[in-house]
Amino acid sequence: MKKISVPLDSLTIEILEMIAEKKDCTSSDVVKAIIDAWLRDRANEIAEKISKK
Amino acid sequence: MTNTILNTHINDWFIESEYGIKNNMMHYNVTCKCGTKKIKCKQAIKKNKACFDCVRSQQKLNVKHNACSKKSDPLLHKTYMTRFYMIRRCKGLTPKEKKNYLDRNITVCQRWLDSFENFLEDMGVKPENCSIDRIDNNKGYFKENCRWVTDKVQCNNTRKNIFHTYLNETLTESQWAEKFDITLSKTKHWISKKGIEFFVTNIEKIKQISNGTTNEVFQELDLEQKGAWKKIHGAFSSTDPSLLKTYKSWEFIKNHKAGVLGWTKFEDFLHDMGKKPLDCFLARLDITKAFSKDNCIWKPTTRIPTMTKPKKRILFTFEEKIIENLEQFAKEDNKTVNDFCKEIVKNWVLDKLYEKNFSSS
Repeated sequence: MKKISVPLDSLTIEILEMIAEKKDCTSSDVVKAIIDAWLRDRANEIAEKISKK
Repeated sequence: MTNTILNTHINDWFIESEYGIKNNMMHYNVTCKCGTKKIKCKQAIKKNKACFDCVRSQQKLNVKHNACSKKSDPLLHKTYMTRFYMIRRCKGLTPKEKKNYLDRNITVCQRWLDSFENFLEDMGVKPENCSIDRIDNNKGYFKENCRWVTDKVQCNNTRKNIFHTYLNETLTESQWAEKFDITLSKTKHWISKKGIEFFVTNIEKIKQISNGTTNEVFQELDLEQKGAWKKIHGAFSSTDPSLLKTYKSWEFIKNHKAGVLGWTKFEDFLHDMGKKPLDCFLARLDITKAFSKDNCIWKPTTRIPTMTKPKKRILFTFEEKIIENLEQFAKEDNKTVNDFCKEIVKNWVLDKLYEKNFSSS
């Protein structure tokens, strides 16, 4: 496991906290889910890159 | 004349026979007491008491001679000089010496005044980094009252020192400090403020305060004075800012023209009112009456409470494989992983906002 710290402006953080409150989780969980989803959308791309290696 | 000195003794020389004239002077064959044979004129025989080796060996036996010369025996020389300066001090030649020695009737004993050998016999050779110390400051220099001590012991045995006694133990301030492993300035501060008994019994708490680690200790020790709260390493203000604010509130009402009832000590005020809450001030229920327990409350200020500072970074953990993938994407855009994640999140949030706007319209 590795740590990532994402620098964000206060407005974005406020929105993330609102979402977190609704989902009953922390804002870092929300950020994690967003990045996970982004990676899932690009699963094919990643697979291609791995096969090229 | 020449015949008169033949076969006679002059000093340690025995004049055996005539040698002949040399440099217009009559020379003689002479033999020293040790058996050394030399050729000397009459004047030289009278001037030089013995042969060179004999004179040298005699000098070695002479203690005073060695003591006077620095090269032959440095420590013995130092001992000799100690006696020299000791006698000179007691003569009171300068005003300072007169005041400290002659006027106080501090003298050197007759035995030591008589000879250096007596002094050496009584005191021995001066040890390295030591000086002569009078055990009782009010008595003079004599065998029973003198010793060789280091500078530290010497300093602890002066009239200037202030002695403190606790449980039959009398020590100077620096000795107390050394005993409890605390600095001299702190020792002086606490002893002058609270006395030796308080200092010894509360030494552990004092050490804690000195380290600036605890604030409760202040309250335990019942230190209501402002100086005690603030002075020592700022322990009070740095560890509990709200308590400091409470203190300031009390300080403000203390000098208020309306007057204060029953709060002569800060501890009483703290006990009755508690710590000052955030964004509150001390208000009187009845403005015409003085500040007292029944008449005061912590009232919230009308201004909007200060906003908490926005977070600047969000921290989370990912598996290394996922981070490797993210790094690959970040490299393509010439960005760091953190900045790349920031863009993903920002874009996602913007998308969400657009979606909301569209749906609402």
